[in-house]
Amino acid sequence: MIKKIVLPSIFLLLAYALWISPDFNEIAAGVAIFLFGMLTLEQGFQTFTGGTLEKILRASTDKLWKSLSFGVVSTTLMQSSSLVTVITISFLSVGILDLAAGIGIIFGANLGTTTGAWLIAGFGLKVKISAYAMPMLVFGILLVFQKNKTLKGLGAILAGMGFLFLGIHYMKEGFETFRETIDLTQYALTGIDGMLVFTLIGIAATVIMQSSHATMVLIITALAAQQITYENALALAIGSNVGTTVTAIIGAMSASVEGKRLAGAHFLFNMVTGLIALVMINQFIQVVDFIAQAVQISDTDYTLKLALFHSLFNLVGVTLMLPFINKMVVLLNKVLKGESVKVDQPKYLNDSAMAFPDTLVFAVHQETVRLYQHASHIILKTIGLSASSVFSDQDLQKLIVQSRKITPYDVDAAYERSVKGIYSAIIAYISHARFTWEMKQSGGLYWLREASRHIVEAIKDTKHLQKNLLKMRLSPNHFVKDEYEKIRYQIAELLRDLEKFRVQSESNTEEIGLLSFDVFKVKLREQDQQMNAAIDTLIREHKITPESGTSLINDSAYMYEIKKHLIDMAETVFVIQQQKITESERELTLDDSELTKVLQTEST
Amino acid sequence: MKKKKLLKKLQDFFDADQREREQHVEDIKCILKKLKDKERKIKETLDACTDDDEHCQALQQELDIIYAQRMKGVKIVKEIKEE
Repeated sequence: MIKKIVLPSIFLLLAYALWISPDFNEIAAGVAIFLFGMLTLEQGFQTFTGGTLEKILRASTDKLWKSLSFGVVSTTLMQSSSLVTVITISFLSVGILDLAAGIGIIFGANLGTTTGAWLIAGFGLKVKISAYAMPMLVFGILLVFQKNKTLKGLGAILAGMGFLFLGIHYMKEGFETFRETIDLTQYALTGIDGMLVFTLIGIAATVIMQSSHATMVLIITALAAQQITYENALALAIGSNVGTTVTAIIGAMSASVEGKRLAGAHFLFNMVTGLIALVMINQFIQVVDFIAQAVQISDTDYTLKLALFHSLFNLVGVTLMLPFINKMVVLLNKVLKGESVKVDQPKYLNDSAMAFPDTLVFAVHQETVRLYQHASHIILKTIGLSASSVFSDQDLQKLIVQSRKITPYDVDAAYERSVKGIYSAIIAYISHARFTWEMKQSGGLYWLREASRHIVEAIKDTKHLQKNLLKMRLSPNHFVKDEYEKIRYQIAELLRDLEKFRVQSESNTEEIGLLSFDVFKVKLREQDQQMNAAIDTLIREHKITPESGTSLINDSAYMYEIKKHLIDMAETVFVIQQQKITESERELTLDDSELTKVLQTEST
Repeated sequence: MKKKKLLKKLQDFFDADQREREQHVEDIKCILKKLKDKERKIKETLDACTDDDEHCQALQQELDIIYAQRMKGVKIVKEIKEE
């Protein structure tokens, strides 16, 4: 509700402000161009992730001083602490980095981001920055249109820098003309009130713009145009430092617990640093003046002094907090406890079952059935159905129609949660047992192992199928949609039939179960032939494009594989391992050529 | 009496192959009977099936498969007997 009101309110306020003040228009456009530049820059750097960046990160974060330096250097180069934070979070999540190294990078990034202020104050304001921006944009965009990924990435970086410079130029121009009409310094506040109010404004500005870098540029350009006092600019800089953590916290809300911990570390660091800077503001001003004199920065060059202040208080923060990194890790691990992902563990595989060959095979069999049940849930969820409805007596066709809106299902997460643990346990259990037991049991175990593999393969194929299934459900072509509904129907139908078979086989009512599997096999072949023929006809009659047709052919192949894996698994788990199959029953099952013959007699 | 028993045992020993073949035929016949029963049940359902075309087709397919399996069984029985 609040979200719905906030955005239109901001739009209205902005529209009004842009309408009444052309100078504000220029400043706001400058901020927008600057932020767009940052986005482009991030995009450019992201093209280099997935290889180079990761390799560098891995090699340069094995020690604390290394991760700190990495934070400084990478943020200085990329001019975006948020990109460095995002990469760090992703590395934490996959366990390449530990939290301490991650915190080291964040500390370094805080120092690295202060170089931005130096660049703008020392370079951006003193030279006509737009003169550099234009060629950068021209060459950058030219490179963006290249097919080569590296050139494209370089182009995005160059264009991003160009937009950054252009944004700074507009902000600078805007503030300069603004000065001629309105004097913002009349709103300047002094004393503690001033410090607190401007710190809050700094926080708010950073939260709105989602970039402390942009806020710093705005502060420096406003300070250069003498629209704000030096004292208030310092408070704004402190605010921007604190505000950037809010951005990280918002970003980490949807992240893993590692991401949350890192955002927590970021927040702790910047809050403590900000508090120190606020409490000791007078001492900081004196030290800044002293250093400025020593390095021959003019007494009235407030922008460079602001950059110096920004670096100084971050440096003090890092120096003070660095010895407490490990304590910080302990605290964050304690406060932000990992929501332990519930991974299903084996239920039947225990040491006591291992004691006897028959109980061992029985335990693996039971566990494989459980694995299959989890897999069927995942497969049905992926195609937008629920096991409870498919395994009920409801009309399947109606169910498919009712559940046309498929919500994306995270197959990988479901696999990790409900399959991987059990599958690994089955494999480990069998590997442990197979060398100790006589051949008769180990043969059974071998087939059960194969059955587990079929289950996992079926899930993998479902994942491949999901990609187009989600895409094609939005297709305006109803022929394409119909074919995908057929795919969903056929998978659901097989799972329903297998479930019925499983229940029957458990109650031993199906006596010649193995022979019943020929029905599944013939149906599998028949449906595959029919679907391929239907796709050919649709392409030939121009009812679907060849592109959609090839996608359908691929996906029908995935469906065939899913069904084949499930049938092969069920044959082993529900029949061979469940019932006493006589040699004669095996003899009567139809081989490939006989199955084809049945199909041929049907079609004639 | 003891001699007769012994002779019978000896005869059984030498005709083990024959007995195995007979057992095999018996097994297949038993399965064929089960298949026949299943076929009869499906036929009854198929005869009652009127409206659902897809369901009827599935039943007909099942009948065809059972028929193929039965023919295979009959062929095996014939071959064993010819041996």
